[in-house]
Amino acid sequence: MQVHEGHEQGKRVWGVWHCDHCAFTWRDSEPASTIDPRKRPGWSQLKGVDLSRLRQLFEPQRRGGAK
Amino acid sequence: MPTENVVQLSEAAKAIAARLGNLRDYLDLLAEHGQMVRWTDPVSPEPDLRNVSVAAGNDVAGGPAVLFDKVLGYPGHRVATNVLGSFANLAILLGFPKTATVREMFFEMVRRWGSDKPLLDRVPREQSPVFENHVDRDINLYKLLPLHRINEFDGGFYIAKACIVTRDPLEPDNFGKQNVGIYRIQVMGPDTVTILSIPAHDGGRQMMAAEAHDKPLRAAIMIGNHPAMTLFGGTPVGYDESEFAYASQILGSRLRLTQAHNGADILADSEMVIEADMVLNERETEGPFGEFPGSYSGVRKVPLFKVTSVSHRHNPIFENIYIGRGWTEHDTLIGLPTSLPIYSALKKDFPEVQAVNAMYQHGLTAIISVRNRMSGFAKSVAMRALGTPHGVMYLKNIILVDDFVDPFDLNEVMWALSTRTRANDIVVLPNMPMVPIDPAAEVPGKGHRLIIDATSFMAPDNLGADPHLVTRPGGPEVDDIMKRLRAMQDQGGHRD
Repeated sequence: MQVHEGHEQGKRVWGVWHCDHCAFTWRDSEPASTIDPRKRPGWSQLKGVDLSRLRQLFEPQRRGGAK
Repeated sequence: MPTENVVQLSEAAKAIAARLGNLRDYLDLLAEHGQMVRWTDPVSPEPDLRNVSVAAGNDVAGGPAVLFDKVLGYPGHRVATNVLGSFANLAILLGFPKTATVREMFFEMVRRWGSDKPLLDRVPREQSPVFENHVDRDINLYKLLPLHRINEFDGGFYIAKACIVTRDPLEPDNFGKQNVGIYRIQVMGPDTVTILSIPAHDGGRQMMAAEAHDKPLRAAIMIGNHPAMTLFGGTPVGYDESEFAYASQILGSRLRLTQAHNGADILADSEMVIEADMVLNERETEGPFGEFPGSYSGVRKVPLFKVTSVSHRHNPIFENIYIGRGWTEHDTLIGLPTSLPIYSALKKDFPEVQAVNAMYQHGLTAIISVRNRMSGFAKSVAMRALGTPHGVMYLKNIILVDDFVDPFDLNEVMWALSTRTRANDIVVLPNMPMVPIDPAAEVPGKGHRLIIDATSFMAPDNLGADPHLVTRPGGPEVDDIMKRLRAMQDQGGHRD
């Protein structure tokens, strides 16, 4: 999902995108090694990571856990 | 409770304190000393901002602050990096020539440490530059700040040098318990962020308390701050001690406070403030992020905050930091503020301690110079260091050197390691708490500590080697006295 566009003198120079699933945020003007899934390292794409079982910084403190 | 301790300054330091009211004043001061560069060529948010910031920070002794005037796609916005990224910039702040040694600055900051009589003025919101512009509708952080990716494989855009103010959720009126800390902030959407503060930090403690007691936690994220605030945002002080008060005293510079819309006290002269409410028990996927140990931290579920407003000065400066594999601005910024509280705690009990250099990766390695009071004494000092608030989590490798070795001179430290270390003077403490992002951990948060005693050999007390035994009175005579004592007890013990 695109969340913002940058402009210079009325012309679009980049867009910022955000993934609602893994929270990755990127600008489409960045080097391919950062934003192209074929070039980014697998670990940085959270390949093989079950996002529902990620470690908590600290557990939600309310009885019954997270909403 | 703050004390009446007031810092005594040299004339040069007084003059600097008098003219410093905010980040812009500091940038002007640096420029006068050739320590601030305006980068007027257009730069891309990535990778130009990163590359220039790293280049500036590579000159640890004399690298300049860099002010970027033109960030592509962000007309009218400015970015500053490496502001406290060299020891020359710190020296100027303290009133020294920019060639001052780290050792000189350490002892000057030691001299000022502990002064916390607040030098704080209150100003109304309408007279506060930070509120010159205020946005509380259709908030879009990607538009309001020239956000950028700090390291190439970070999970998103980070605000990494902001001072975050939160009140104690159970005692919101307690000024001292109001916390100011620098924690990493990942922008998660146009009006949402995560704030990563571990339970060992005051900020994390307050987040946990808010959830446990179902109380609101309102944060004011100050960006582009007076350099004294930045120095103390990353300094561990007591839970009920005010970072505002300490910050005002470390430079002897009065700070102007105003109140954010959500009730937090903030600096009236900061460049920006983002106000945000913690969404209790809500988490977001945070990371990876290139952290100070030089590795990307893992990905975790981290507390989420909803932004309620953004305020900023006209033509604001977004001050950010390059952090990653050292040496970086982060190492320079927090090096001495990390060393000071450890030194202060040790010196109280052990006056033989001469200096502490805990500048390496936030204290993952520290060097302590100490005069041995008795054989093996230095190791006891190291154990005490491990029990200081910062030492509990961070001090992983401690090197002890003699009192005549300068811990800030690594050639001298290497001499001590080469010529004083005996292999049986190394202590390994297994399975201790550890900074979760330290890649040397056995498992995240748990690992081993190392103490290297590189002080000169000191002969132990030889009492045990040549025991002249005491002849203890005994035999029939003492036995008879014991019987007589018992008989006297049986008869009531005391008789005139």
